[in-house]
Amino acid sequence: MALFPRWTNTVSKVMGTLTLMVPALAVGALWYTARTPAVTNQSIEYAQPVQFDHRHHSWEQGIDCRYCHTAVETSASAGIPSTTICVGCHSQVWNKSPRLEPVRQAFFQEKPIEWVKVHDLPDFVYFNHSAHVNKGVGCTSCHGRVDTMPAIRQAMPLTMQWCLNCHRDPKLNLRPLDKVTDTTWDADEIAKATLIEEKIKAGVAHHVAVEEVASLSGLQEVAAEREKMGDELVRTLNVHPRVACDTCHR
Amino acid sequence: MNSNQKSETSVQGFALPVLNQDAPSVVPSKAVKTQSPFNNDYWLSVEEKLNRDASIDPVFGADAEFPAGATMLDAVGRRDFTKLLGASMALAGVGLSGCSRPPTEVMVPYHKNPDGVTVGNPLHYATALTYGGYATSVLVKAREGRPIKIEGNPDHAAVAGKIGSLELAHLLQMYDPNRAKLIKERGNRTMAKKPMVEMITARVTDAKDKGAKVRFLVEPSGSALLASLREEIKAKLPDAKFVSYTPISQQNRHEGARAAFGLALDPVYDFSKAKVVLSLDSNFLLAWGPNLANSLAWADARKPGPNMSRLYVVEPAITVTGTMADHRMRLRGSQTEAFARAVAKQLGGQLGGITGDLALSPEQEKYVSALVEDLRAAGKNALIVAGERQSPAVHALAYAMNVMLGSLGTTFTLIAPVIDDTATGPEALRGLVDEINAGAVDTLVITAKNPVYARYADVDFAGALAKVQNSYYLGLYEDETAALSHYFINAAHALESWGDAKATDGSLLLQQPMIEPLYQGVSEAQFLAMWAGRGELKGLELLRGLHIKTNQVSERDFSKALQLGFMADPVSPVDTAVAYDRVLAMPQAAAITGLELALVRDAKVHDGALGNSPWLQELPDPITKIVWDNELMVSPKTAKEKFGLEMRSLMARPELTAHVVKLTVGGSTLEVPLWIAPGHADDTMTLALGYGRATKAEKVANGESLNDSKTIGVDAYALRTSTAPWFMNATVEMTDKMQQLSCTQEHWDMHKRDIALEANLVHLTDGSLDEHLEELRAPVAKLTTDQAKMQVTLQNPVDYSKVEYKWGMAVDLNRCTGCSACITACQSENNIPVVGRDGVKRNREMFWLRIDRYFSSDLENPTVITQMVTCQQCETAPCEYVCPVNATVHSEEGLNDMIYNRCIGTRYCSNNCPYKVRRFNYFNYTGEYTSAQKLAQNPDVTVRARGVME
Repeated sequence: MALFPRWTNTVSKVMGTLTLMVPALAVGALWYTARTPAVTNQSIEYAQPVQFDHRHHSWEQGIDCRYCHTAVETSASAGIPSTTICVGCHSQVWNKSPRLEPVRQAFFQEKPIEWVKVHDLPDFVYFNHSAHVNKGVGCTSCHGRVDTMPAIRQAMPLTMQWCLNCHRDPKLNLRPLDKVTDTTWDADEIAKATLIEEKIKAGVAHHVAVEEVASLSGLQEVAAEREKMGDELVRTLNVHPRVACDTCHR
Repeated sequence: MNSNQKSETSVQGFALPVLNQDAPSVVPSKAVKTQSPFNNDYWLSVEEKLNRDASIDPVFGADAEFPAGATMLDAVGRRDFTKLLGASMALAGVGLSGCSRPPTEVMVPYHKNPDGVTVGNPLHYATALTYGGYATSVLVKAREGRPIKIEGNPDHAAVAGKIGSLELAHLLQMYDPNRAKLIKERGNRTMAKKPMVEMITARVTDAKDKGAKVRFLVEPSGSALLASLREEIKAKLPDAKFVSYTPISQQNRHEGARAAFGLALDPVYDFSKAKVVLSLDSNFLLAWGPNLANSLAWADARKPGPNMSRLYVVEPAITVTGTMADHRMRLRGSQTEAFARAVAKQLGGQLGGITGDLALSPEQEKYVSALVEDLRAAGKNALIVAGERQSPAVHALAYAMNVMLGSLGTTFTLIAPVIDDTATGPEALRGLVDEINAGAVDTLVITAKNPVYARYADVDFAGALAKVQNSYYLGLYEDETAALSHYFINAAHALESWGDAKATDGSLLLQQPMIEPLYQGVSEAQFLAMWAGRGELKGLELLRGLHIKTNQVSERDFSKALQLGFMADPVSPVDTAVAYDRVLAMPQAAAITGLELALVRDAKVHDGALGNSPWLQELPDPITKIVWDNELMVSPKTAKEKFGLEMRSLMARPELTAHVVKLTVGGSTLEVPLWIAPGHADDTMTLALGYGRATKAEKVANGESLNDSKTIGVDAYALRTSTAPWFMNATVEMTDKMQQLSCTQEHWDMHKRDIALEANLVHLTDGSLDEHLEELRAPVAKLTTDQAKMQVTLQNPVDYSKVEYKWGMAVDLNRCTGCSACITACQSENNIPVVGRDGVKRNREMFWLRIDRYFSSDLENPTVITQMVTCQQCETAPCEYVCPVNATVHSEEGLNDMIYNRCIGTRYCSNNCPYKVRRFNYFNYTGEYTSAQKLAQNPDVTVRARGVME
């Protein structure tokens, strides 16, 4: 009779595996959890002091982002509009709307409106809006389709990994400078249109050209066209993003 | 011809300290470096010198691996420490305090965006800062309406964008949590602003009706606005009188001009044109208003080459100016007059008939002859400058000698006095006190800075103030004067008020606020307007009233002046002639026999008005490197002869313990730590003013913030009398007590690495400097390219092909005076905290850049060079490859950078730094900042927490 019965072999194997796996899984789980939207604060809709709706202003009225976020091209901060900017229009339109009561109160009491910060980077990160919008990074690249949001939420993870992915190879996130605030600008559509145009010029009929571009090999062509567009933008806008730590930490 | 050209070019722009000692005849100074200009015999402290002379390896300080106290843990043993460590880990784990989500923050936009403000971008405003009546034009950098840094105004010719520690410190003063926030009645009851204004208006009406005698004790001022308000008050209250007073008065300078030229004048020096400069106890590079303009012009004239200027300095204790001297002579302060007379006598001419006691030692005689010969040769390019401590006779002589040499119009011009009332000395205060004691004053209004503290022992101003029926004090702090005044009104800071002031070149500067008064303070102009019976007025209203309504300045010109910081009106020099007979007739001050005590303006806190500034208190003195204290400086010889202090006893000092001596002047006694100062004149002692504050409100100045139940320094004003404000006879007595001083002179020692170099002008032209540099480069030059690659760096070389530029910064050490303004500027820009007296004692000061001061040659009469040491941002930085977490790394631009949020505080980088510029946050120095102090921080630089290296 052995000191240990035979079944203990199984136990020891299972225990050994668990000893290795549990910590590995725990680390993996933490690693994964840290990247989930729940932890990166994505998609939380905060109650703001004023139920401001970007859908109405940006989408329906087509007001440019820079009309309110005035500092975005010249400063690190995009600038939260002052109450006077709101009242500039709303003294004329919707000036009796009960939804705007907090704005009118703030205006007449000369007290600023305290908005809840949705895109909140850690304090040791020095992000500069002007450096991005002047080099062809569109608003939607980081903020998502703000013009479709009833309340502002964080669309992107805003993790360091996410930042670095673009900093290492920004070309697919660039656009011409005049399209930076264009929320509907779609690089794929532009690439497709360019390709179709080229094919028509080469003598292909319109409907065939559209079908060709929509095919699998066509999609590869679109991707290649996007790369080409990106490379061109990197060159013309003189984009050379830094990845050294001091770019954002100082 | 060819060789001449070569030597010309090789001496241009040399960045090491260069002396110009090729005087026409040899000046007997031990400091002349005759043999080798490149001695490596530099020493940082008396102890180091003594140990080296005795070939003793010190057991502390310089050669120890770690600085003294670096690893000490107070009151907690190793076991307790481990327990605490465990407990805190457990608590952190249980409470999961590390895993919480950051709190939701709010964004507060403007109600209405102010004109010109882009959120996130700074704005610069020109304004003026005044000290002792002389103003400096500055630019203030403001972010979203809060000032965060003071810089020099590049548009104002006198300062050309330069700034000193004193001006920089005004920023912190504005955010000082100890500032008075309320109006107080009789020390305790608070009062609202409106009743205070009404009360003053009622008092003015009352005084006017009853003819009551109102006296105003004010700071000297050249302000046009304040002058107009004074006139207004005098028109309203014909019996009112104004007394200007400042503890460090320029009255002797004005009296000297009055003797020489018949009227009080202010000199405007142009050191850039001077070839030979003689300083008669004048610290013109650091003290008094025009120091910034002086330094800049002086450095311009020091370009190594045939036109390099030569500086002679005669002074008791080494000052910043003294360190720059080519030929420095140690001389008792009270003997300076005899010296000046001897120089005048030798210069001859109209001053040849000068009389008086001119007795000089043979060595001094020789110095004088060489000096006079040099002055004569320089002619109109000579300049003689007398110091603020010297008698009117010395000033008059200096003026007369300058005019005789023909330098008026070349190296200096004269302008009408910058301050309106030149009687700012002790007599002014004495006159007021006499009047009060005679019962002739029933209302006293004080806007001068704390006259109860900045006093004369024989003028009982405090006693007199208590006798006045109604006293009103406008001040930034509830200080010593506030405690004795009936009404205390909290003042607005210079950065919070409108006004104007005169710069040292006579130009009128405009002062504009950067921020609304934090505590609803009242500016001096607003306060005086109340006394003119005009109630509460806005500062801008007053300023526009004077300049636009009365002086007919156009709106356009006024806006332009606000933008530039000054009015464009040129200041015309006064054309005048010297009355030599009056100068010759000036009586000579009686010489002081025996041991002499010389009081001096402190190089950091000046007269003490900025004593509550942690930046200034922690700034190492440019010469002694002592922080948070003042000390009695004596020469090694005097220490031995008068105090019986054996030099050997210094060698065994475990830490910087100083003997405490009892100092008696007249009936006043002080106990002061004794400091052996190389280069100090014999039989004289030097003590700085501005310390030993007894104020309750100013927690930094009175030492309360340090929590070590000690005051900061001793109050030298207690020894100061109106008859002998600077030099006096003193008796001394040794006590058994010892006192530890905090001093940075041996901190961050360079371990005898040859990084400090200096040369004499002749060595630049004869090629010996080049030879020496070759010698120094030899070890590197010998390496083959492969070896060099392997040995010089462990890192991959920076790829500069991707970036458009390389960074570089050059410090011309030949221009560096060691004034230390860069240290304060760095603190302000980079949010560097102060660590307190005890922290500095343990080598924990946080300055990113320091100024090493090296003595060389003789202990009694050394030469001094200063070397600014900053982080070199090394291209192949030794700190980088020892960092286990890559917290210090290279940027793409080739700069070495620190990433605070990665740092885990191993301090390896500090140990591997060859320049010893890495600093560690031993405590959470920034954690206890009040909300006002937080506003002073630069928002573009991380505020570091505990355990982080910087």
